[in-house]
Amino acid sequence: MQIARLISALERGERVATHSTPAVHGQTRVIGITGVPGAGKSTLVDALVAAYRQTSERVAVIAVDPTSPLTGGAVLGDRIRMNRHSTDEGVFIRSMGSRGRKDGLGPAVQDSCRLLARAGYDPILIETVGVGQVELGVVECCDIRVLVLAPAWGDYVQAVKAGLIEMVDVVVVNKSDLPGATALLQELKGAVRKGGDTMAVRVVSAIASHGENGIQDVRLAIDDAWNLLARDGIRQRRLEAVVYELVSRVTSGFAGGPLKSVGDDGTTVRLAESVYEGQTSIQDAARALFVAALDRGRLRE
Amino acid sequence: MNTTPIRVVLGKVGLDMHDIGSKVVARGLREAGMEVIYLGPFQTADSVVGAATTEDADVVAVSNISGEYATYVPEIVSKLRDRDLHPIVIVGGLVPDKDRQGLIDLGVDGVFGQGSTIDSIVEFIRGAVAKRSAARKA
Amino acid sequence: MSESNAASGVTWSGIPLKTYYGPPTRDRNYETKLGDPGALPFTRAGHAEMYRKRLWITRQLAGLDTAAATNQRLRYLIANGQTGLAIVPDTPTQLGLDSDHPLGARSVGTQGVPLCTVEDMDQMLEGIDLRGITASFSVPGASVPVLLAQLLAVADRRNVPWDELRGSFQNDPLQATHTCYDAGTPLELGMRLCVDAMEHCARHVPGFHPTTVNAYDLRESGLNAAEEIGVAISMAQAYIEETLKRGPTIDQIGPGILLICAAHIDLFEEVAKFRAARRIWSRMMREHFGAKDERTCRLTLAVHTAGSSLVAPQPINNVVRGTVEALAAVLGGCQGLDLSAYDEPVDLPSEQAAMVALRTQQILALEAGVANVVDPLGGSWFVEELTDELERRAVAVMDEVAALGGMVAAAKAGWLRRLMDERQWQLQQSIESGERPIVGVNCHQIPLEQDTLLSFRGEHPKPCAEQVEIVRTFRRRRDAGSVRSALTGLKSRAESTSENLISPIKIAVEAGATMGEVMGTIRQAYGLPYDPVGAIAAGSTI
Repeated sequence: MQIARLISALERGERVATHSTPAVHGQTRVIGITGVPGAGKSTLVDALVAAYRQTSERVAVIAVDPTSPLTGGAVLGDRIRMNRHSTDEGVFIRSMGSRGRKDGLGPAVQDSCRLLARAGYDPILIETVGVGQVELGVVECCDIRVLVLAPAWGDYVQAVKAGLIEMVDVVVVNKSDLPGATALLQELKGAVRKGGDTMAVRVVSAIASHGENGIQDVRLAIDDAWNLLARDGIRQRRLEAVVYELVSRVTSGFAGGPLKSVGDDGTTVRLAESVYEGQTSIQDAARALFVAALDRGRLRE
Repeated sequence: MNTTPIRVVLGKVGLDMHDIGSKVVARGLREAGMEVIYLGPFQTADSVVGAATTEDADVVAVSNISGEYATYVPEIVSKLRDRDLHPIVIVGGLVPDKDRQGLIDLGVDGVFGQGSTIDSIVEFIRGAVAKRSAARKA
Repeated sequence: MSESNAASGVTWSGIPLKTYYGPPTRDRNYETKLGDPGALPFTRAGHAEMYRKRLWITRQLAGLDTAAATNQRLRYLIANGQTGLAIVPDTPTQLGLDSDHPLGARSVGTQGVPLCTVEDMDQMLEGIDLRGITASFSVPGASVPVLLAQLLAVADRRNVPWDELRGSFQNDPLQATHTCYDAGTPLELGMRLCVDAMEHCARHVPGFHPTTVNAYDLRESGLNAAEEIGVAISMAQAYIEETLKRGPTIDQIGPGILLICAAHIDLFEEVAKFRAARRIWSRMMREHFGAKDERTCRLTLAVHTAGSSLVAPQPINNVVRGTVEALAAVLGGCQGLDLSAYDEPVDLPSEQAAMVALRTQQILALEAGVANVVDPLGGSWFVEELTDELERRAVAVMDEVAALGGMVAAAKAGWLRRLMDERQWQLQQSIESGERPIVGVNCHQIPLEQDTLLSFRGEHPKPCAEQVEIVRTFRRRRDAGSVRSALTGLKSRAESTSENLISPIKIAVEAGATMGEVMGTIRQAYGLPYDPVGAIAAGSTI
């Protein structure tokens, strides 16, 4: 299938003619799903896909899993939980490795979304790696951000501490049949009320593995967040997403290209030794390193 | 990592639940730098081909120890052809010697029976994928 | 080996043998840690006389492509001295699917016997006296209640009172959930069905063991010896705790649980493992559950020699491996033994291989004298220390599970899944690197052309088209109205979460409902898809 091949090309860093598709891809909803491993993201995504299919919407799913930094390989196992949709022509599931990105996304997620939107898929669900609680990529690049928590995982406290609850639009307490679910729900609702923002965070509970238990509530929360966004202006949001992607690419391109090049030829070490010996200040060394790297030219793509 | 990972769609067909081997292979392929799209058990020809399509698979790997491969693999090969997809197709698990040639004749590229090592599977995949890209460039 | 056979009381050379040997004086240490055979804490053996009174039950797994063919094999084995039946249902049956299910039809009858309808069960047991045998069914997953119902229905047809039935099921949803044998049945439903079967047997079928915790498959999944028993006993603990909530006492429930363990190739470690398992079990029943009856504290151990230890190259060596492993089981005091046939790596057992497995046990029992004395390795400094060490490690595993909130919570948290994945990987690495030597595989290999492959059939059984027809004919002949109404009754009982489902399942089965129809109805009652693989619609087969 053409789209699948184009996505592969995008992942390889090839230029594919998506740049002519405006980033404001009509009314396509890009929904990011994040949360620690074990919270039930994939099961929730599977249930959401089923719900969207019931209303005949064509859904795309991009599921990202971590690439091993040592071997460059990955086991992309999220689609096991979505197996029933493999034979549905109205569902496009693509598994991606993070391939070096640290923000929960893969190298071509944004561009792939554009391709998929052009092909008529709406919504597009992005299931992130989930090594942190909320990954920056999902916050920056997706229209609606959903955080999935499960009781007894202890990451609630972390999430609140890091102020992450306020960064998302919907929090789902999944596996809500497990002990601790009610307590978690109360704590979340309390935290969210304290936030006092107009863009209130919606908290819902679900048991994604168990039929339609709570899935309609999740959908309603997502729709609600979308309506609010559509009203207040998607353009700004999406512009910010492009800015994020630009900065992200430049930063990693710089680190992987010019900066790596001066590292490889010993410049970095020499400057470090000079600081270590007390001959140069760290600020001067940093400036010198920057200039040396700039001299190398090309960003690594 | 500079090279693009090889993408392998790996699944078990039919009702065969003995998935230890296929999981170990999945991990082994990951250690070898490949992206393994692990489908798990209960796959049909349609679900395997559906996945191979959207995942733009370089390799389709079918695991089976119960003999059901005999009904599913021919279907998989022909459905891939119908969609004009040409991944490397390999079959692993319990395949008696006398069935091997039949599978190759059908269009399967490699058969890995009892006792196959992960290294041999990795080597085969790398070789087959390299050969295919060279052929495409030509 | 019929029940009149027993081990000998003299050596080959005529030296008389005591039933068991022990220290000249029994001190406190001996009484608390070991105990005489047949006495708490049962470390040395479950019974005082063991094989001197009656040899272990020999079972070879049987499950051919139709109930009729399986019936023939069972009768053959019984006629040749087998004392118990070990039945493996085919994969569709295990998963709760019908023989004519779209995916099921491609594997029906190939890995075991199809038991889709009550007629299949009846046919499989034709001409076999239910009072005279023990029938164990290798079924871990949720289809157990249906098979139990089928069996009870057949017993009713033959006027055999339920309290005279002997046998077992696996009925082990915690294990099934980790090996995909629970397709479409989430753990809570699996637990409910498991406990329904346990409660029903505790109350109405007291001679039957409804639950056999499958430590064997845990071991086959790569866990080590201590983990095997630590995890299995934690699973048993979870089942017991749930069944206690229904009302029966620990003394009613406890004796109904068996453990089926692996006998692996490291002989002394395995013997120590069995001894440690008995001690841990006894202490758990006494101290944790407050059992009053000593019989509750006695662990009944079934053993299956480790299939994964057998390999395809130089296959005749598998007879040696099986022998060593069976020896471990005998020296370890098991109550029942399945010996893996030498062609296990590539096939369902051929008749010849099944016979060799049986004869191996008969040679051990009748010629080699290893069954003559109970717990012959007891008192060995090595084996006693090994037993203690295995107990320590197994208890550490149990403590870890307890800290997670019990085995059900641990399973939901993915703890066991991660452990199994890690061990499987390590095992494969250790074999490929040669760190774990396996003769013929990574050392002492010979070229394939020189290998003696014996008489491997080297062919996968074809799915049994005949069985598909049998089921279709059955459907045509039954009264669809009775089936529908029985299933409606079952569904409403299942929707109310507390009532035991065995009785309504039995009514449905007797009205002619098939395995897939009963399981599908129950799944629907739980808000799950009727068909776990989504290939057929609810009620479409009625």
